[in-house]
Amino acid sequence: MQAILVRGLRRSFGDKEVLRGIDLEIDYGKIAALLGPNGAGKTTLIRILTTELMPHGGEAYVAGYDVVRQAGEVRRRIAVIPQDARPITYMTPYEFVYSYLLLRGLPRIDARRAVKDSLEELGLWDVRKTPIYQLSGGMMRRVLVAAVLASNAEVIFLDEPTVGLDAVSRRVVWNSLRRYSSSGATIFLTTHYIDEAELISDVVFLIDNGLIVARGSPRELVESLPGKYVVEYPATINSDSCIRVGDSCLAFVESLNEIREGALRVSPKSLEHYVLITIKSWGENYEEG
Amino acid sequence: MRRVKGGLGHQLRAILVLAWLNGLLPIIRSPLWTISTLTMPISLLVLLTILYKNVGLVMGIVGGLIWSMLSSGTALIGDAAYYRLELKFQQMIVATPTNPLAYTVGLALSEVVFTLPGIVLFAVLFTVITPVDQWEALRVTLSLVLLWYSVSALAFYSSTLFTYIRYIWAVASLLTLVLGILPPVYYPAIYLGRMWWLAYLVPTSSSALIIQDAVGVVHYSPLQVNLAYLSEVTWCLLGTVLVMRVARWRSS
Repeated sequence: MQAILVRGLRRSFGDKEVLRGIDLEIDYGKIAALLGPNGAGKTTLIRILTTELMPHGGEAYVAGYDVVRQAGEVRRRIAVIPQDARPITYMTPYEFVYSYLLLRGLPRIDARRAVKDSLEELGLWDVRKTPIYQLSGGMMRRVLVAAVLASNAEVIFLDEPTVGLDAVSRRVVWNSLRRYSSSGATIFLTTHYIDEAELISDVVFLIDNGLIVARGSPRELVESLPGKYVVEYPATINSDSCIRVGDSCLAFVESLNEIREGALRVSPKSLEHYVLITIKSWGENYEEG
Repeated sequence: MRRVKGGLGHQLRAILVLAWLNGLLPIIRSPLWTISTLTMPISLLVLLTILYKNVGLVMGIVGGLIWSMLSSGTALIGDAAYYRLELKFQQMIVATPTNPLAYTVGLALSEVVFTLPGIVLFAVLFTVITPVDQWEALRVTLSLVLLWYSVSALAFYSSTLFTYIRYIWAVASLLTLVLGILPPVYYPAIYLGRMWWLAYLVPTSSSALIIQDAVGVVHYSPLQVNLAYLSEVTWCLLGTVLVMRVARWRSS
């Protein structure tokens, strides 16, 4: 049984079809990242899978339960950090995480132990009694992560969990997510940070205009690119061998000797390059996705 | 992985947790909130007492009790909308076993914590100024509980209609006018003449009608009083249906 199974999922807002038939499956114990431009449908997909939004077509199962007909069963097994979520700021980190766990139905003894473990893991134990409004933005975000990771849910959904975090905080969160998934839980996250997806994900899904356009492990996706290096030229360069992406033109080469005059930068091929050339709708969408 | 239960026991506990986190905690950290909810009903009490002496005093006390319940509801609109639109806290709770009714009642209970000083003040004045027997006190209490429930349910439903937080501020003020000032809360329904039945159209004036009759400041017929109870129960049922079936807990 997969942790998440989606078949032909559709959802519209007015005339705009945001999800146009999403298919994906994610096994237990995996971290899956959903990458895509603004408005591609990432948040809409998360909202449907967390039972907050009804789909208009297709099927979706989380932890083996239908998100429409068995929403109650799904809710017992998941936890979510929505996009742009913030903790209640007059509370302390301890109070927020503890009350969230009680609302999730954990017994008080278990909740107290889980709060301590989670706050320690995310480096928040020393500020557990400090009102959240006195904490930095990064720490506020970590309070949310601490809450969902303390929940011990089977499937966790994180909509852009590391926005606003500094480099060290991001690594603290990544380590916690990796530790959490190693216990057999599944983490499904959306992110705009391609390096984040590359570093922590077992599987990456690329979504564009409401469709999954690519999937695979970060390594598989990168290795599907030609050559070893990517040379970035201005878009004005006259060449058939490079792929235009916004104001740039990307050329894939085997050797550094193949670099022509006018190159802006050269780097080893990466997931970012794969994403840049696979997504076709950069900058086109501005509405909720 | 730990699988959690979501039965009645959990829903009752969720109500208390929400009342704690949204009511007790902020009030302990900023007690000024409690006083701010008292300003308007005390102002009206003073004004009515100066203008109409004893009758004004009694009407001001009755109105003050109802106003306290109403302000619970209007505060709930703001808090529920803030949690949904700004903090996305409601979305986090949707993905838990806590159901929308427990969420609503929990928030409603937390708002009562805010207005508790007002309720206590007016209840004490009520007991001192208007000697009522136990039966009448029970009628008054029942009426206020029904009012609290119905206004809270309607408030939560209303909060889910909005997509932008600043629109809520205007609505809360309008609701105070429409539910607290215009209907016969601070004046007898008989002042409406042949249109006295308009009092049943909102839960606040239905409750006022019952309490005014209980304390004897206005005498209504048993039919009128019973219809007021029916009106309050109907508002409660309507509120429950709106919260469970219509409110934007799960978006369609």
